[in-house]
Amino acid sequence: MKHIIAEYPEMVLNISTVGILAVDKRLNIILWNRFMEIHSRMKADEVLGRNIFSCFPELNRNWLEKKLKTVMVLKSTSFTSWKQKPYLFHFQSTQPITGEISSMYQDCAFWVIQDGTGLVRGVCISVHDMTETAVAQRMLNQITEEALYLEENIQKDGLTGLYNRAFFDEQISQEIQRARRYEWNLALIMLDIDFFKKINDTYGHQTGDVVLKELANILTQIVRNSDIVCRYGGEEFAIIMPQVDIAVMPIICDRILSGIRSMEIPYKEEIIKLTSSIGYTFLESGMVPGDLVRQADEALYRSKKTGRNRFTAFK
Amino acid sequence: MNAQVQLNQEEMDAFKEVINIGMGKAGAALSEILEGFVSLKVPEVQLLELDNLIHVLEKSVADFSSINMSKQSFVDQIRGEILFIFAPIAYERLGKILGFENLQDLTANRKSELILEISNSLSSACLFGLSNQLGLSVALKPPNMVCLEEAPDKIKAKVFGGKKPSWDHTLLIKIEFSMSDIQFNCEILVFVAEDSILPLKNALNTLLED
Repeated sequence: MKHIIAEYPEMVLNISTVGILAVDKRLNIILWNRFMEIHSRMKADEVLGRNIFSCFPELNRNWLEKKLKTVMVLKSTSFTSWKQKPYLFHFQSTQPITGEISSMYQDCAFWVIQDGTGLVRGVCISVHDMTETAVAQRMLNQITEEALYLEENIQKDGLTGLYNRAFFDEQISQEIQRARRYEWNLALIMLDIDFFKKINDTYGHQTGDVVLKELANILTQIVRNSDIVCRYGGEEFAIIMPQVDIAVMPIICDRILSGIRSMEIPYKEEIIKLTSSIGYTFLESGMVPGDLVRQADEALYRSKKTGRNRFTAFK
Repeated sequence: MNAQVQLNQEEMDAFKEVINIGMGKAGAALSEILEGFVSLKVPEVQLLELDNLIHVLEKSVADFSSINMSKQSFVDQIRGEILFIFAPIAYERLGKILGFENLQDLTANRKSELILEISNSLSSACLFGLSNQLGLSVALKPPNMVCLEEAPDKIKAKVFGGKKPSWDHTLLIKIEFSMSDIQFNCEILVFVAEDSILPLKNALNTLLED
């Protein structure tokens, strides 16, 4: 065994940045460099000539035996990556002070050792410390997640959690395009709370906010998942409804109106009740997003004019 | 087409012969390590342009509703990349053969680990089968995942990541691997880089002279 070790230059043994070890065909350790000594806390003297699994019982034996055999049979190279398997040898992290990770992430390569005549002598294994990369990747994942969160929230209204006006403006154009491409219906509902200014003036803005939040809840519960509920402004809400059956619009509007009528907002000893008004319209050929909003708004205005707490379809 | 990347009929015949011998050796080695009957077929060897390559890829994935793909580079006297396309995998059975334990807990990472492990064995066997016959040395780089259980669409984006490849031609060796015992099938697409076609031709001509 000694003569195999002697074939390797001294410098390989002294490398402390990459782990280099080798096993013979019986899986006894025949090479153990400085890196391996430092991180395993086992000197070459203690491991050389011993079976790798008796030195490191924590190694996954079935799998590693299979892998080493494969390398010897195929006379080839094989790998493990920290991305799938964090480590081969369980070593402590090299960042005891500044790091939050406790064990060293490793990339490993396994390659066959052949003598001059091509006879297989064993397998050499290199162990690379990938902890820095793993930490960087973890940070990158975290930042990506935060960016996704921000992107989602930039579309939302902070108070109600509904989509905001900016999102509505963008979405309505897209939905019009989709409706035309797939030739399905598209309806737009505009909804306004009746006498909301009076609620704010009488009960205060905090109560007004509670009303808006509660109303947002009711709307999302009533409409379908595919409908897009937006806070259009102040106390005005817009609902984009793709693929909707024209005949069911009065039923949906009725359900929304009665849902809002049955809301009970507690204020001190009192219960506040409210009503709302709705106007809606459908997409027809030649219309642009502005037309859709204008028509729904006109219908809403008519609901207000004719006594509130009702819905009107644009004609 | 540049004559340096063209294989004439004699060279192509010699190459196919080399591949057949190489695959025979690869199959024997693989059935030893995978402990079962394996089959390696080489239905296609051809010089491709980029557009044809995309077409080959689309054809390879067309029958699947979900695909797994990995890739692995080889370097040295000939260089190129190997692309693996897997039919849906019986992970438990494959994992058992590869010595994996705790196969009931199959996370995406574990599935990838299994795919990369088998990819590496397949590329080792096929590539060294070839390079030994040709007398050209080649070394493998670590394998990587291309996609795990994804829809087979946008194949060009998956493989090239939206970048425009900088080559005109590649030599493709299409290998079909299967292990009927565990119903495991995969397509191994070995792409030889444009600048390695000439060294390959030279090696073939050396063989032809002998």
